[in-house]
Amino acid sequence: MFIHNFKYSLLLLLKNKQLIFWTLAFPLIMCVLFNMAFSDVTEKTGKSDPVNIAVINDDDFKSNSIYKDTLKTLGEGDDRVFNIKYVSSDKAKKLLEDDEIAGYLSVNGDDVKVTVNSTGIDETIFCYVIDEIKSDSSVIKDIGESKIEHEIKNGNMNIDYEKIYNDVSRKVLKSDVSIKNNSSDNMSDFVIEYYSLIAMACMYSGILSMTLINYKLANITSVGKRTSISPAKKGGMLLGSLSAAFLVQLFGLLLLYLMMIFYVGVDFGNNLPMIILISILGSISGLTLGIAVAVFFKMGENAKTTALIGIVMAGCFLSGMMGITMKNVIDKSIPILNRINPVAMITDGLYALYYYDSMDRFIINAVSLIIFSAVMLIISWRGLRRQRYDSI
Amino acid sequence: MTVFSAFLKVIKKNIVMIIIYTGIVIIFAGLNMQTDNTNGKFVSEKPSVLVINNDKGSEISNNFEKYLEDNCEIAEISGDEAISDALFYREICCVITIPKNFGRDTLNGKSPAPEIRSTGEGDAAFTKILMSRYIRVLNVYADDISDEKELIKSVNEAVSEKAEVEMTTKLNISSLAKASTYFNFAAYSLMSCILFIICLVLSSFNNLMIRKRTIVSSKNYKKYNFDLFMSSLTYVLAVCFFFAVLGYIMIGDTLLTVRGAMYILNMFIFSVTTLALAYFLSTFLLPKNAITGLVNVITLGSSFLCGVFVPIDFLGEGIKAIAHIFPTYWYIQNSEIITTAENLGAELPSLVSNSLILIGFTILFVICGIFVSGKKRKIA
Repeated sequence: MFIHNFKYSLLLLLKNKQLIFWTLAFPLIMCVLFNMAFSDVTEKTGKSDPVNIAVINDDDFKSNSIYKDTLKTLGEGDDRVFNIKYVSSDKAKKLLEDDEIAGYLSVNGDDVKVTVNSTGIDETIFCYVIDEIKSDSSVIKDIGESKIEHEIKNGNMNIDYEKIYNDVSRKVLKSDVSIKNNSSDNMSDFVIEYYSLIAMACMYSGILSMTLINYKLANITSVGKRTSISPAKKGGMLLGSLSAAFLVQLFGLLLLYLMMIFYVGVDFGNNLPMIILISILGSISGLTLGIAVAVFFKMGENAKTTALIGIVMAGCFLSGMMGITMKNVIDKSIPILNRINPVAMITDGLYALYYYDSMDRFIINAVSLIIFSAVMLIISWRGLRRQRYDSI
Repeated sequence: MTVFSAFLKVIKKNIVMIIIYTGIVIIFAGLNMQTDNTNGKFVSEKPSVLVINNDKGSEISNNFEKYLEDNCEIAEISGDEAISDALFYREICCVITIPKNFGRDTLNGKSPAPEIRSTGEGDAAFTKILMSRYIRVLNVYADDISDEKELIKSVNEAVSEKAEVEMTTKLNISSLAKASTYFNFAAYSLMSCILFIICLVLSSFNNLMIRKRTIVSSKNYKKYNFDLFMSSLTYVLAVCFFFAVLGYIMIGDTLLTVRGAMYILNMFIFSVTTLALAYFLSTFLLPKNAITGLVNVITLGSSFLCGVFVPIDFLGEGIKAIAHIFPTYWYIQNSEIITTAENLGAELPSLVSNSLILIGFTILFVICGIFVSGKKRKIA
């Protein structure tokens, strides 16, 4: 009976275009869309690009060596802070108007003015760097004056003012600042989008199981009526059908993983067996969710599909598919929501493998998925057992 | 009225779907609107950081911590895992650790290095600039000043030097940014609500058996089509009105200005285009489940490629070129112009041309719909 059911369930699933779309085609389409949308985003947010600025290149600026030299240094090399345009006042205004620069600098004696059009991070960096040059200038003046005072106190009347200021300037401007960098290499938050896509694909296996369970329900299909009154063991039949659904689901996931690894280049970390494990557990959760929806939603087949897709999409939203920060916000503010959301469990499990060295968090997610599947199965089993019809 | 009643029945059946999509826009927009008003005055963007001071006993270290507090948003997060998560999800851009004996080593001229764990992005680079500024001044003064209090005083004086900043824009940027976030994301929810319901309703009415019954019934054909059109338009108007009211609740008085009216007008034009698209799709007489799939692909696809989920500036040039074929792109373009234009009058030609393109899409979808339905009728 198991083999018989397995074979015909497999044929039934593979011949259903709608099911093939949701389990095989839809995740692949989404993967292509993600790749198109995010390939440039990761490049643009993954590194800090130089800020485009302009400097009004008048006599005041040319005669102010601290600003001139410092900005020249900041605008050179591959790791430069600024892309600087030295222009006239009118040209600077025009560049700002056309949004080609974050702002421009004008120097008037000791006074400096920064003109910006907005309050973004580029404008803030520009203002702070100018503040920094201003404070360097003040430090040079302060230390220079105290050194001159010291020389006078020591009775030295042949003071070389220029040498003192040059020495102090060199000391201030060339002094190295050491900051120890302990940052991780695995910081690409866009992987969450792809992880939630895998989670979505896992949960869409629910459509497969739901379709097959509908064939076992007497109040939904004629096949269900015949199956209900047949003497065949329901457990064996169900197991055969679900195994077929599981096989189709694994095939869909395999395609998705191949696409993500070889076409998109998503980083899944180095723990392949655990990735396979969480995908299998996720798929089982999807299958059991589909069974529960089939059993408990007293509505037509189409309405059930719509409801299941709605539940999965809402789960995807909460786990970060339509905005990466969403998952963290939910984890912090309403943690219970993602504790019962299987999409978030799968996403978080893959995230734990990618980001953390320890396996603790992964194990919590894996166990949560097992508990979710068990709960879905138990309540579905109780629901299936109680079904008695006086008349259909 | 019969047509309208049937329309309401389909809406009632799918109310859960509408609630889900509306809930998504409320949550998403609500989370992205927690910024302050700036009203044309330059306010530095403060990076969010977490500071771990392992040298609490030293005044130099405490002063460094205070400097960071003055220039950054300091997050209060405890626990290694929570800190790591906050860093990964960009809740903070850096974790700065002031090492033990930082103050004493500074006074001894050892130039101790604080530690940083960062995302490596723009705001993290900015935080590094902030730190470098303070530490350089501190190390330079520490060579000449041995008294802790005097050293702190000199450093504080130097780092408090500020250049004059002039901001040219007179727009209330943060308030308009909220409106832009809301209306950009509304494109996804609006499109889902309209496409899903209208496609389902029109497909039900286009069902061959129902169509045959309608044709042989006494109901005037023109009146039937008019009822169907009016019902659809009423639904679209109701959805638009609902999203406008929701927008007012979430954004506030900005929606009562000229810019607010333009956001709503833009949304209405986009909704009518979506209605035309729904009409076109429904002429293919697809089964209901196929409609669900198609609507998901169209709404998610156009949202990802046109700047609804990801800011349009972040998308590559190739993707932006492809996005031109979606009405959503022109809707987002108008939304961006309304948000950023200093002088709306000067940008009116761009706004009108983008709206005309949306109207062009509407006409195209209607013509294609008439063509396809004509073909289908002949086949039937």
